[in-house]
Amino acid sequence: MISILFNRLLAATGLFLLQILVFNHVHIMGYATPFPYIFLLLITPLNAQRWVVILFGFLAGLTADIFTGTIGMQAVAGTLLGFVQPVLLKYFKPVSADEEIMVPSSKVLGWGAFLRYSFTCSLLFCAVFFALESFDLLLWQALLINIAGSTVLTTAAIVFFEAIHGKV
Amino acid sequence: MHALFDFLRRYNHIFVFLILEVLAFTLLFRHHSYQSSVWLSAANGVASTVNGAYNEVEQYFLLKAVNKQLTEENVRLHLEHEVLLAGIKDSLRREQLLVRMAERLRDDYEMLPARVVSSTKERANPYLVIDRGENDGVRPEMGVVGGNGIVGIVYKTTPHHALVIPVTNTKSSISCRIRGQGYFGYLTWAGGDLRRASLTDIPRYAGKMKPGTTVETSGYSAVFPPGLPVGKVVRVSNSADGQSYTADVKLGTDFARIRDVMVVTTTYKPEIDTLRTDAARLEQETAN
Repeated sequence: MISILFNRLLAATGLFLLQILVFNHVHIMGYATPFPYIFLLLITPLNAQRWVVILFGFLAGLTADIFTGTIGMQAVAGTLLGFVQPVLLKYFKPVSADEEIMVPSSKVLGWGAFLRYSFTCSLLFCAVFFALESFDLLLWQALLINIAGSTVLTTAAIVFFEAIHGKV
Repeated sequence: MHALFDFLRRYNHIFVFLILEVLAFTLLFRHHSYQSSVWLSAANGVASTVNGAYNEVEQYFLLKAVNKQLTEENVRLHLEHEVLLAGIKDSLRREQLLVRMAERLRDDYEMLPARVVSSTKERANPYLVIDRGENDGVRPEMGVVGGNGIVGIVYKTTPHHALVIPVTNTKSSISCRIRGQGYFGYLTWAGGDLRRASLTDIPRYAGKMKPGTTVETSGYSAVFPPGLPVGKVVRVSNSADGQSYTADVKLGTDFARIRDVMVVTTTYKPEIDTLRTDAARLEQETAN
């Protein structure tokens, strides 16, 4: 139990460092920015207390916000993601899976379901974040490109980390 | 109460979610002036729209009271307007009358202000008592006029009072004429309406006069100076014998409300009376 928590904490620290030092500076073609740290939220077990997940989403978003100068935006998106994560997980999990102890991963969900699950979560997060960042629909084409590019990049990064995570 | 706690425990994550989202948005708007300004202007727009709608509804409900108020004000202004209009008309007429009186009376006649102290308008033959008498120079046969026209003739005097036979007395007969035509008749009263008298003995060749024509004093009797208004013609009809016209006259003076009057005194009346007596005596002598 403690080792799992320690592992998680280590993974979280590593992910945040990566996010802050590397991914925040990625602006492919001036648009797409990946947010792979939401991977930490995605792998929250289904039996976790819901308010804990929400609080974790808020704190993760706020931490990322502080280092990117977007105070509040990722916090809003992260809190929302923490609220809907269990709902989405229940929707994408296989019928046979044991709800009590299920930890979402490519092994449990299968790669197809995991991909769809992480894509949906990324899309939600990116849509909320970029909508708050632009805050109007005047440049809606740029907004859509931002959301689409970042969602694709974030999903790709999550899949990459999941692949490493599964091997560890 | 237990159910409430149960509900709160079961759905605590929703409250946590809402609180954290509000917190996150607060941070967002506090740290980003652009989002904050957009949010504030949007919120202000919504607020002003809601307030405007509320205001309109409120105004609609106030319409009834406003309408009532406007009606009251309208009535008040209308009355005021009527009063002012009447006042202007009255003052214009009085002014004209007084100017004319002053012109006519300047040389031959003098005016003595008096006040009606007693009147018996209920009787068939009413009379008035004024507070001027012999000591003030009032003599029988003197004319009395009011602001709107002639009133009557002094009949008897005491040291301080005088009895006036008004136009609205069956014994009264005053020489009058139609203004602008010169034909004259006698103003008599047959009882009844205090504001209606008849002008009789108008010669037929005078032609019919239109209703609304002013009747004024002729000045022949020397009781009244010529040209004092008496009233207006209301209706013209043939007299009983068919030899002359009779005009119904609406009197200018309201005898039911008369108060301030003037006694007309003329220095020439004795002279005219002497001539008349002489003429009558001459006629008698010729007849004899």
